[in-house]
Amino acid sequence: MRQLHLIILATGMFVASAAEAQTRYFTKSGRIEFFSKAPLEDIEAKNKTATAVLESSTGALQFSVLLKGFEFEKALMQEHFNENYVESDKFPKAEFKGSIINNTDISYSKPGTYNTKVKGIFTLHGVSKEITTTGTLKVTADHLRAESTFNILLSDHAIKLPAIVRDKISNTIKVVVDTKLEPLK
Amino acid sequence: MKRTIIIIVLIVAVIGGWFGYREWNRAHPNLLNRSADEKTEASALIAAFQKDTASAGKQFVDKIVSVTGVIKKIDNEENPVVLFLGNTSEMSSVQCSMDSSNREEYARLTVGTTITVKGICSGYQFDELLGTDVQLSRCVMETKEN
Repeated sequence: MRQLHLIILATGMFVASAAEAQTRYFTKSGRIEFFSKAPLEDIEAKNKTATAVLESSTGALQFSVLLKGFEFEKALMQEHFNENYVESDKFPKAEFKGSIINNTDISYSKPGTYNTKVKGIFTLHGVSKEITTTGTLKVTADHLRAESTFNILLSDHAIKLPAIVRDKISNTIKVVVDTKLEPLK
Repeated sequence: MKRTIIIIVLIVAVIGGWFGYREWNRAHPNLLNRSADEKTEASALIAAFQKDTASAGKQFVDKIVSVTGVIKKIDNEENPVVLFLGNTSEMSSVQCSMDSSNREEYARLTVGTTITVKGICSGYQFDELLGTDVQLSRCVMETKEN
C-alpha cells in the first residue's frame, strides 16, 4: 500500500515537472494583416509567415515578420509599399519585442480565454516606438492562440507619404495579429 | 491646325489614361506561366542563407525560386496554406505561402510528400531558438511524389 502511494506521488511529481518544463511556445506561420481606409484607395495586405515566441513563465513575447512577405491584391500597390514606403531592401523586417504585462493572470495549464495587456517596442522602417495594446490568449490542451488588434501611425516610423497622395492615404494603419502557438520541444 | 492639336492631345490623354488604369489594376503574375530564375533544394537554400546572407539575398530575394523538398509540416488553417519544407530533425525550414486561388488542392497535401514549389523569395529570418527560415510567397506547385 505504501509502495503504491510512493508510485502515485512519484508519477504526480513527474507529470508536474514535465508540465512545468514546457514554457516556450512558438509559431512560424503567424497571420498578420493590415488595413488602411482612405479616400483614394482602401489598402489591405496579408502575411501568414510571421514568427513568434512566447515564454509562458515570464510573459516575454516577440514577433518578427518579413515585409516582402505581405501580399496585396494589386501588384503596383505591393511594389509601392516595398520600394517607396517601408523600403524593405534596407529594412526587411518589422519586429515586436515586449511582454504580456498581466502574465500572472493567465493559467497556461487551464484551458480558457484570457484577456491580455501587451507592452513593448515595435520596430518598423528602422524606427522603434513603444506600444501598448490589448488582446486575447486562448489556452487549449495542446496549443495557445494569441490575437490582438492595434493601430500604428506611419509618421511614428518616419514613413513619408509623397505629397501627391498625402491627403488621400491614411496615416493610421490597423494591424491585426492572429497566431497559433505550439509548444517548442 | 488648332483642331489637329486638340485631337492629338485627346488621343494622348486617352492612351495615357488607359495605360495608367491598366498599371493601377495590374494583377500579380501567375507563377505557373513563368520560368524559375533559380532552381534548388530546400536544404541547399537554407544552407545558402546560413553561410552568407548577403550573397544568398542577392541570388534569391525577389526572384522566382523553384524549391524541392519534403513537406515536414502543413498549416492549412485559413488562407493561405503554408507548407514547411526541410529536415524534420532541424528547426530550420523553407516556408512556402501558397497561392490562395488553389487552396483546396494545397490543403490536401500530406506531410512526408516530396514536392517542388515555385514562389517569390521574400527573404530569410534567423533566430537562435527557431533556426533559419527562408520564405517564399505566392507559391504554386510544380510536381509532387509520394
